[in-house]
Amino acid sequence: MSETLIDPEAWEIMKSMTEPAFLVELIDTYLSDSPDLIEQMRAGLAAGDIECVRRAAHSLKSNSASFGATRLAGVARELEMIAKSGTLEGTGPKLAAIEVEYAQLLPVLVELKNEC
Amino acid sequence: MNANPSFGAVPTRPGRLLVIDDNKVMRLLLARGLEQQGHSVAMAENGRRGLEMLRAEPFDLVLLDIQMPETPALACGASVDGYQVLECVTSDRALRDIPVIITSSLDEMDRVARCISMGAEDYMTKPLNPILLRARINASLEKKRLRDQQKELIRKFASSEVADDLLAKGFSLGGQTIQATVLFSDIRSFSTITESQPASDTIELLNNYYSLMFEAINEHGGMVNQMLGDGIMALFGIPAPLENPAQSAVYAALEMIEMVDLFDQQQAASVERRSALALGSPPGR
Repeated sequence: MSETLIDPEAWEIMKSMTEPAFLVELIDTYLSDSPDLIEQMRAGLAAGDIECVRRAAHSLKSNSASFGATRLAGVARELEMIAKSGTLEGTGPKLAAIEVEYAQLLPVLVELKNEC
Repeated sequence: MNANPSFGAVPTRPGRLLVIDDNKVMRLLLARGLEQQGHSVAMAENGRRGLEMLRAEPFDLVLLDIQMPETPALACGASVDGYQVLECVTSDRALRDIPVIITSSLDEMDRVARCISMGAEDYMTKPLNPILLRARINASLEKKRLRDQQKELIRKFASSEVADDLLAKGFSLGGQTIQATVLFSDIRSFSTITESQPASDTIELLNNYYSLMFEAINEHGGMVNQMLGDGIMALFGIPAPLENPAQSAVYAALEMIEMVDLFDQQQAASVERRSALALGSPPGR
């Protein structure tokens, strides 16, 4: 897995698929939805709602992978897989890792957005 | 490495597509990608909305996220889940010709397999590869166009009842014993007629003749099975059963003669009912 926050190749594909104005809208949507998804995971974990945790992790994984945020997508996928196996055991640390990754990704995405 | 797929190229024939995905980033990304390929795209944020839109206006293709929640779970939101949307589309006569492409992640091949067995046309894994997306969308749209043409063709050659039946049950080969009647008819001295006039006149004559004959045959529940020049072979009781196929065939034959008499007043052609026969057909096996 790439050690960079944003995989340049995925980012280039994304850029080639879209025009700048749309990319800005997409990043804004991502930045607005991701905290909600993390909040859903946190609430689902507290309530013992495995399906809600799985779904939120799944969405965050897909969205992050689209931007080439492979590290965050990877951790989200790990969390999704645990929930998919029918348990929330060990998901606490994964969620914490997701929050750390997202906090690092946020300024990078804002910068990329400003470059658009 | 700079992959630079030709995402902006215009497709051979654009379609009207519907993207159903509860995930906004995915929805926007997919819709924009498809628009850049020249298609016209509508979006639905959940299954229920998607079905409403499908019933309200015609679409050529649906891209459906299979990961949509069914019941409210905390903030996850309520809707009809992806499987239910697929089931509604494939079981609805008005919708089932619309191809559905499933969008999923690579981890969900079990779900994809289930969708394909439920009647989904194809699937795409996320993140979406623009080149694959383009190829699969175009292939699905092309297949739909061919199916639509086939339907149109069936409607031309079969009574609406038979066409509905064929479209509902599909074409199938297999052993079946049916009570049916076969009717043959052609124009007497057709060769002489064709020799005596330009080809364009013969074509015009045949077109008029076929229209009248098909009408008479369809009127009585028959289906034109084959045409060879002026020859027509029509089936009564196949594939849709008739109460009395022989009687229907005779009535059709009588009406065909009447039609030809009318036709004869304008055309210098006479038709021989070479064998407007009412046959109790032998059981086919």
